[in-house]
Amino acid sequence: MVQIVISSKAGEGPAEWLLVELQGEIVSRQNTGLAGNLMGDLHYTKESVPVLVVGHHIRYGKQVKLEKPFAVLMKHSGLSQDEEENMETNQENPNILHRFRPH
Amino acid sequence: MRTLEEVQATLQIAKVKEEDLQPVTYCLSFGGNVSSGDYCLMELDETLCKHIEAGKSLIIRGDKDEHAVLCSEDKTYDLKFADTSNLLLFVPGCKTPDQLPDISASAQLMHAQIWGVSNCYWELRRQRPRLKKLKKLLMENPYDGPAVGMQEEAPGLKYTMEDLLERIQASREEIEAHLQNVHACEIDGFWRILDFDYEMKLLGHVTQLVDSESWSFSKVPLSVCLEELGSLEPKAMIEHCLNCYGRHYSIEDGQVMYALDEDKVCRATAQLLLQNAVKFNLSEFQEVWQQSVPEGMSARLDQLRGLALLDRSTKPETISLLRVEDLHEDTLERFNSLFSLREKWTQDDIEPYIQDLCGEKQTTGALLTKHARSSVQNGVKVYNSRRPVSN
Repeated sequence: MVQIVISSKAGEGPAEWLLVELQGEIVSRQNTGLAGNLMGDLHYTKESVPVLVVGHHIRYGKQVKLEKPFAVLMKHSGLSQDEEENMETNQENPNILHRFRPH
Repeated sequence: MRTLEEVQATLQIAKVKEEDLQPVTYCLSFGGNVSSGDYCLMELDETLCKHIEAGKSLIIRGDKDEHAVLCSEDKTYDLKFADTSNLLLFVPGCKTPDQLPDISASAQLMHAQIWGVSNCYWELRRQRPRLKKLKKLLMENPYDGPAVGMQEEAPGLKYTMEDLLERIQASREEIEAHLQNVHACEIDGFWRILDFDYEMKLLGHVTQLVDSESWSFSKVPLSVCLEELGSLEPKAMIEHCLNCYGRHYSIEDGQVMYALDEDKVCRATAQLLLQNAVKFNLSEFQEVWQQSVPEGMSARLDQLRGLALLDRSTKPETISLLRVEDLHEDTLERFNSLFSLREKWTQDDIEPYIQDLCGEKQTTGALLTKHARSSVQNGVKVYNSRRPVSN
C-alpha cells in the first residue's frame, strides 16, 4: 500500500498564505509558460476593496473568509526506495480569499 | 522589475484614481515553481487544521485498486477530487488591508510571487473506516492455543501493528479499537484473533472456576484465576479472556478484580449454539441457551441484536445466526443482501444490521429513507427494497 505522510515543520506551524480566485484562465501570451511572468498589480481601495489590474483589465474583487481552510501540499521527495513521500503543508488561514469577477 | 512609476502609469491608463487607493500595492508575478506540478491544494476541516498547526502529521493510504483515504491519529477521511471553473492562485507573504500599515503613508510597491496555481483541489469527507479487511487478515491464521510439546506453532501469516497500518485504510486508533472489538490479542508482537472454539474454551474455564468458588460474577479475582487456571492455559490468555468478557477494577489492597459482563457471556454462548445449524426452533433454542449459560446469568433475546435474526412469521418461530460483521461493508451491497434475506423488515429488526453504516451525523432512519421504501403491513411500518433485488 502506498503511504504518503503529510507533515508541517515542527514547532513553526505552517505559514498563512493568501488565496486569490479568478474567473477564467490565465495563459501566457506566447504560451511559454507562466513562470517568471508578471501577473498584475493588486491594489486595495480606501474601503479595502481589492482591485486587480491585469494588462489593461481591471477587476474589482471581494475579500471573503474561506468556509474551510485550505492547505497547500508540497511534494518533498526524500528516499526514493520507500514508497513514502513527505509533503509539507502551508496553510491558507485565517481563510482569506480575494475573489475577482469580470467587471 | 516593475517600478512604482510603471504601476502608477498603468493606473492612469486604466482610469483608476490613485487617491481612492491605499498606498501599498502588490506587484504579483509567477514564481518559478508554478508549473512544476509538485503541489496540490486540499480542503481541511477545523479539526485537521488544528492537528496540522500542532505539528502532527496526516497519512494518505491506499492500494492501487482502492480509493485513497486520509488518516489522522484517530479518524479516516475519503479523498474526493473537486474541480472549479475558476483559477486559484496562492500567494505567500501578501497582506490584506487589515494587516497593512496606516492609510496615510506614502505610495509603496511590494513584490509578491505567486507560488502556485490550481483549478482543482481535494475535498475531505469524514468516513467510517473500512475495517472488515482487518478481521479477514487475522482470520487467515487464528490462534488456538500454544504449540503442543516440542512443535513450533504451524507457520502462517502473522501481522504486527505496523503491518496492519500498511494494509488497512484506517487510522491507528480506529484499528486499535477494532482489534479490541474482535477480541484480538498481541502475542509475541503479532496481533492474533482467537479461534472461536478456543475462546469459548477459555471462557468455560473461567466460568467453571467462578461457579466452583461460588464467587459473585462481579467479584472475580485475577490472581486466583491465574493461579488455578495457569496450568491449563497460558496466563496471558486467561487474562485476555477476562478482559474480553469483563471489566477490571482494583480494590483497596490493590488486588485486581473483574466484573463479568452477563450480556457478553450470554451472547457468546448463543453464537456457539447457533453456529451449528442453519435454523433453530426459537423456544427450543431459548431453553438450551438458558441452560448453557453460567448459572445465575439470564439469557435474553435483546442480547442477540446484530448476532441473530428471529423469524416470527413462521410456525414454529425460528432463530438463525446472522452477524452484522459478516455482512457487506458497502452500504448498497448491505441493503441488497438484507433485502435478499428477507423482503420486508421492521425498523427494529433491521436497525442492528445498518447501525454501523451511519455516517457521523446520520441516523438509521435517514439511511432507511434513502435506501428503502416503506409501507404499512398489518398496522406495522415495514421497509423493503427500492430496487429489484439481485441475488
